[in-house]
This record gives sequence, structure tokens and C-alpha cells, in this order.
Amino acid sequence: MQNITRLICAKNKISYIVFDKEFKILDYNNTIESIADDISSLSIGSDIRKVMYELVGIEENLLALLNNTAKENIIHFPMILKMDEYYDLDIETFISSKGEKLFIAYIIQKPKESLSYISMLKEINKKTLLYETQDKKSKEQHFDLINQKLLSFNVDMDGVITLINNAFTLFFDLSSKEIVGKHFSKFFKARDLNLNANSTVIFNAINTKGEVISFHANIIPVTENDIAHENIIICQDITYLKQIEKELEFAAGHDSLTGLPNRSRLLSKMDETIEKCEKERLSFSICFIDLDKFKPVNDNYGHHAGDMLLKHIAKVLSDFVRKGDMVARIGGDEFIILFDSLSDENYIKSMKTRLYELPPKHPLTYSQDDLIEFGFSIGLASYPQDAITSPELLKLADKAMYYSKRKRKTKN
Amino acid sequence: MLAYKIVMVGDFGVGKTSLVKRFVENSFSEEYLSTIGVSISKKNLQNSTIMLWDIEGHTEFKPIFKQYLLGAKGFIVVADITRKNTIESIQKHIELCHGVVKDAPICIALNKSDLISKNSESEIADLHSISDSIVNILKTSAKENDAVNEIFGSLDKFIVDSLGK
Repeated sequence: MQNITRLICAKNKISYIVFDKEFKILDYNNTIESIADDISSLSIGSDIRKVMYELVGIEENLLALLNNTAKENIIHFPMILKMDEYYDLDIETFISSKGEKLFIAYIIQKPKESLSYISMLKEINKKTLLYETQDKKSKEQHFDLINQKLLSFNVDMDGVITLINNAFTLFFDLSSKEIVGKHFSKFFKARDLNLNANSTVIFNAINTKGEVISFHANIIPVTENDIAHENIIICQDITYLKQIEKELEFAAGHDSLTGLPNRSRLLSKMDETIEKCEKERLSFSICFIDLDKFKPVNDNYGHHAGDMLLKHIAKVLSDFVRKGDMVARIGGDEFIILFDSLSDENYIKSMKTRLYELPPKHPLTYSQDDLIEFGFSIGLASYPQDAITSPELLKLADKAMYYSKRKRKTKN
Repeated sequence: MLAYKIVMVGDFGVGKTSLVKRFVENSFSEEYLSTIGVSISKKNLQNSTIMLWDIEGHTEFKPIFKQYLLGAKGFIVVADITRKNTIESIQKHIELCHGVVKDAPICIALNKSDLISKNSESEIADLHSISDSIVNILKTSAKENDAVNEIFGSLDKFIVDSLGK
């Protein structure tokens, strides 16, 4: 090795090590000591592969370099990390002063400037990994949430459960062993126990809190050679829809101010009662109640006071009637009481009297100083004595109320 | 003592360094420090000495430097069992390894198995079909020290046996 090469290496802080085709170390400079993998093996004549692990395995490539059969005339390993420093390793051949072809390995420490590039790469990789794993986690959480809400299970053609998802076990708080192998009807109640492929069905099930939960279930057949051998059932909790349905049904049949059944609900109830009475040869009566002095309440106190009075009367009447009777509000200040299975004339008369007594006993306390008084005009009609249809009964009761009101006005 | 080179190959962040650290030092760190370039570790086994080349993982903007694979007697291709894209890269990595060292034996480590509850055995069977040179496929966890010695051990045994023939 020429002195000039040694000088260049020293000036540029390049470590070098010379070795022959037997991999025996022939020469090296001092800086090699700081980067040797095993410094105890570093000596002239020792095997370079014990000093530099990079050379283990590449013997054939080195010999190809020596014999000029390699594609490149250099073996280059960049960015080798040793003791927190990065090095490039270049292995070349040269002819010694004795005419022998030898190897020389240059180990060039990467300049400090390259560290910022490395830090940047590490940071990018770290962020990318975080993004990938977080993205996956968020997707998993997404599907976990769906899985918690959607119960799904497989049943064979006899309705026996063969497979369930986590949501199923969570909903019933049972283990897979306690569910699989049982007929689905043990867990879900349905109108029809036949599960028809590609159809939907409403299931009811009781959760761990004892609440009845309604599910809309899709039945998806699993086929093999066009023959269904299993069904997948996917159940979506529709309890909230059922609740909305109930609320809508209630709203359709009730007065929003007082919460009492409205005309429509009253007529349905009267029809049902007529049907029952017809079959069982029973009778019933309705009582038409119109408020007296209602207009002055609205005029003197305002509509909010009128509303308060209507709600108050609704409560007074509801407290008055028996269980099974119905109090309905069918118009502005018109109420109906349906006395179920009641038509005894004397008894009805006594009820009428008691009804007239209600207003003076229960005036509306509007404020500390203001009691709002009111009165009733009442008309009665009975099935089947007076009429046999709901509209007729209402009409007659209304008429009777009107006469009663007029008679009382005349008297006053 | 037979000394040879094994290269760890795989996408970035799959746990190549963690597997090497667990195998060589029996240590593990939760902190992710991306490997840049290559770090070489030595592990003495009963009948051999392995030089483990823990190389920079493949990223979208930086492919694996083929020169690092030179002279390897075998490869451990590592994938992160929780990241499907890293499993899909296995075939590409094997092709890269065989492009440098034809028919070199390969073990596949499906790492980070501690993060999942199960993995389909059929998926492992599918991976076997990628190459006849696949010696073993194991679900490993550097964190839990699960099947780490086994994956290196099976590759070592294969290499030692084949070099001894």
C-alpha cells in the first residue's frame, strides 16, 4: 500500500484494513480499532471476518472481485451502524508493491450532516407507522361498535344456531357454548318460527335488564350448488322505532294539551264497546260535558289560563271516573265520559248529579288570590236504548247537553 | 465453528430489530426506533455463529438496498400480523431475496402475534405456497418472546444441515 494512500486516509479520517485472499489481515490504520466488531481479534495475520462481521458470507463475492469476474470492481455497503455512528464500507482490490493482488476495505464515517437526514427518515417512518396502526385501530373500533349493535347468527335449516357473533353473547350475557346448538326460538320470540330465506322478520328478545328489545332481522341464505343449507340472521335493534311508533300511535289518538283520548280514539272505543255490548247483551252510556263560562276565562286571563283550566278539568274528570271508563276531549271545551257497562237510569242520574257537583268543589287555583270557577252542561245518551251507533249516540248526547244548557240559562 | 449471514427483510415497523434484540440480547423495548441502514449483530449458537443483518425496512419512498442481501445463507422475512399490507409484501420480499441469492432458505415471521387473538391457519398455508424455499412460518412476538428462538433456530438448523451435507 502506497504511503500517499495512507496519508489521504489519515487526512480524511478514513479507516482502512488490508487483507489477502485467505482473509488474513496484512495492514490497517489505528482508527480501525474504534470500529472493529471484535478488537481482541485485530492483529496482523488474523482473520478479518472476526474483526469485521460485514465480511462474513461474502467470501465468494470477494474472490470474484479478486478474479475480475464480479460485475462491479467494488463491494459497497452503505450506512452501517456501529457505536451510534454510520459508516460506508467499500472493498476494492489493488496490486501490492510485491505484485500481489490484495483487498483493501475503506470504512468511511458518514459526516454529521447526514444525521439530520437520518432523523428525518426515522421521524417519517415513526409517523407512518403510527398512522397505519391508528387507522387500523379506528377501523377496528368502528367495526367493534357495529358488532356491538348488530346481532348476527347462523342457523341450520331446522333453526338450530350454529354460529354467533360477539354482540349475541354480550346481549344475552351467555357464553357461546350456552347458545350454539340451541333453537333460535329459545332466545328470540317471533310470530312465525319458519325463517324464510331472503325475507325479514321482527324478533323480540329480553335483554339482561329484563327489557323487551325488538329486532328487525334479515334472513340471508348460505347456498352451495344453489341449495341453501344455512341462514345468516342479522338483527338490528329497532326498539327506538317501536317507541316512536307507539308515540305516534298515542299522538294520533290523544289530545296533545290534556293527554286525554281525542274524538277519533273515543269513537274507536265506543265502536269496540258497542261490539262487546251487542255480543254480551250489555249496555253503556256516554256523558257529553260542555264547559260553562269558558270564554270569559280566555278573555279575562288569557289563553294560557284557558289551557290550564282544560288540563285541570281533564284531571278532575279522570279522577272522578271508574277504572274502565274513558274521559275524552273531543273539542275546545267539550269532554265525553264513556261509562262502561252502565245504563241503569237511576245510577246514571246520580252520576250526573255528582258531575254537576264537581266544579264548585274543584275550582282552578290560578294564583293565591284568584280562583277560576267553571260549570258543566251535561247531556246523556245510552246504548242501546237511545241509539246503536257511536255517531248517533254522540249526536244525542250533544243535543241533550244543549237542552240542558239552554234550560239552565233560562232558569238563571 | 461455522459462521454465516442471515438478513432480516420486511417492511418498516414490522419488528425486525425487536426480533433480533430478543434473539441476541433477550431484551425488548416498546419504543419504535426506525432502523436506517444496517446494524449487524452476532449470535453464537451451539454449532454455528450467525451474523444477523438487521436492515432498513422497505418503505414506499425507499426500497431495500439489495447489496445488503449479498452472501446471505438465509433470510427471515418479517411481517406485522396486524398490518395486512406487510403480509401482502412477503411475496415481493422473497422475490427480492431470491433475486440476490437464488433459492436461499427463508423463514417467515408473522410478528406482533401478541396484538391479535387469532390468525387463520389457512392464511399460513397460503403463504407456504409462495415459494418452495420457505422453511418455516411462525407467528412470533418479540414482546412476549413467543416463537422467537424457534424461528431463528429452524432456519439455523436448515442451513447448518444443508452446509454439512
